[in-house]
Amino acid sequence: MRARVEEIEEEAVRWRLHREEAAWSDTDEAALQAWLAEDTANRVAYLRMSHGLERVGRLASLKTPGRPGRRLPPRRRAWPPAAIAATLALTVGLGALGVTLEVGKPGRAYATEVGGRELVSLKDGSKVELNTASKVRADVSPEKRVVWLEKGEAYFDIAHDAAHPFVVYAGDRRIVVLGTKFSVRRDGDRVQVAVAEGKVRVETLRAEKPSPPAVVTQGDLVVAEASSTLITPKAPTKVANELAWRDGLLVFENSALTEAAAEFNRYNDKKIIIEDTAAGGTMISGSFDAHNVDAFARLLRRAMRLNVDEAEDEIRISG
Amino acid sequence: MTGARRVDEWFVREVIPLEASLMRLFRTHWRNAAEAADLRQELYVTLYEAGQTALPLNTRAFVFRSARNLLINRARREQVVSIELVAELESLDTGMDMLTPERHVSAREDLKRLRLGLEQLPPRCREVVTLRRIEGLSQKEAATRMGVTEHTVERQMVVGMRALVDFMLGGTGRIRREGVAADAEEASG
Repeated sequence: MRARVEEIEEEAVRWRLHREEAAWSDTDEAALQAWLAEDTANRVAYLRMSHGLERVGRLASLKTPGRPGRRLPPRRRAWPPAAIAATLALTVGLGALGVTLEVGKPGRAYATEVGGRELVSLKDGSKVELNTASKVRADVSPEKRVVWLEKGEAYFDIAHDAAHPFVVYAGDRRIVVLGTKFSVRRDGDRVQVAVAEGKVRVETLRAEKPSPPAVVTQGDLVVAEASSTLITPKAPTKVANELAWRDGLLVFENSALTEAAAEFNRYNDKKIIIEDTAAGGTMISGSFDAHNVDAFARLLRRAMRLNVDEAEDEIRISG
Repeated sequence: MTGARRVDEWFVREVIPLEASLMRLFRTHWRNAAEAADLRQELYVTLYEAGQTALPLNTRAFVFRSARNLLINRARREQVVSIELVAELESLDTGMDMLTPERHVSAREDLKRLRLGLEQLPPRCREVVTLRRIEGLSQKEAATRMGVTEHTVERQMVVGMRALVDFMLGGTGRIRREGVAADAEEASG
């Protein structure tokens, strides 16, 4: 086994040294790419050796300053030092947006299917981005600006209008804003507000137990349920994670697999089912394509070494 | 899926710098230290393939958790390992605090290590690496200077550079005997 690793590494060094030669051709490059694609073992060995060789190469030139040596041919960069964006770029399949007028209820209704995401422009210039399996009703006119989040989650980019506050109703909470960007998520009675920009006021509508409104600003996260309102101030990373769905991503930071699975299940018809607590307690960190549940399952199998039993419409995970 | 280039960049920038700590972990917690390189390779394949799916936010935590899982699974699979080792690995805290952060290695320290690595190489191998990399001779020039074939120079170069890189990254920097022996024969003939 040990010899095998070294053999692959020597092969990688041979490729890499060869690549620095002036005679390196497109055919050689194609052959290298084929070798790399053949096996991940080849690729990681090549990356490791290339990285090490660059380090060794730099040092060799350090060792003999000013010494007239033969000039080496210009080295090719295997990968340019590109700036790495904080989030993954990916493609998102947009579900069909249903727009309906419901008799007896004010405003216009907008809804998305499971896995859908849709951007709605309102008359006042505000924008509402609906997440998976979500529904809002919007009653927006020059006189008033009101939106009801009936289920799911939405991101609001509100046009500034000091004379007409923008009001979002979610469960038994009312969120009042002047001009700002924030998201509201509803899971039954639980309402969560994440503020990306500006300032919003979260009020409770429960008549029996009135509590003072909470004013939250950029980077704050509010979780309200029944009579309690929990504010996590100055949590810009958490807020950014909460808004990652706008890029089609799910971001977890030390979340239990049970929570992560519940999040994936919001976006996909193919559901993850956790079979035992051992598996459910596995901690998950990272950013994932919300719609690629199969890839997530593969990760659980390969990196987390969990048992993954995949059927057509569900994925069963056990420890 | 993450683009190949991004996975490559992530792997080089975030995973490889953890190698010295990783190897320490493998040598401490695996009964056969000689298998550390094999474990590393298997782990790297797993990590890279996981990276193709999605890049972890906290690479460090992810890498060490995966390393621990790899050890646990191997220990279970081989069944020769005492139950204590498995228990020890299970309880091994791969949290951030127990692991010393990677020291920033200065160019001077790196240079020192390079010299040490060079000295460890067998003489002929060391000569080839020195002539090619430090003196800047071509393969042909080095072959003429040493009175050996170009093939030998190429072979010794590959073996030597692999060992040197391995040593620089925190490995043993040892060379497989048979590879060098084969060339020694050719060189003497």
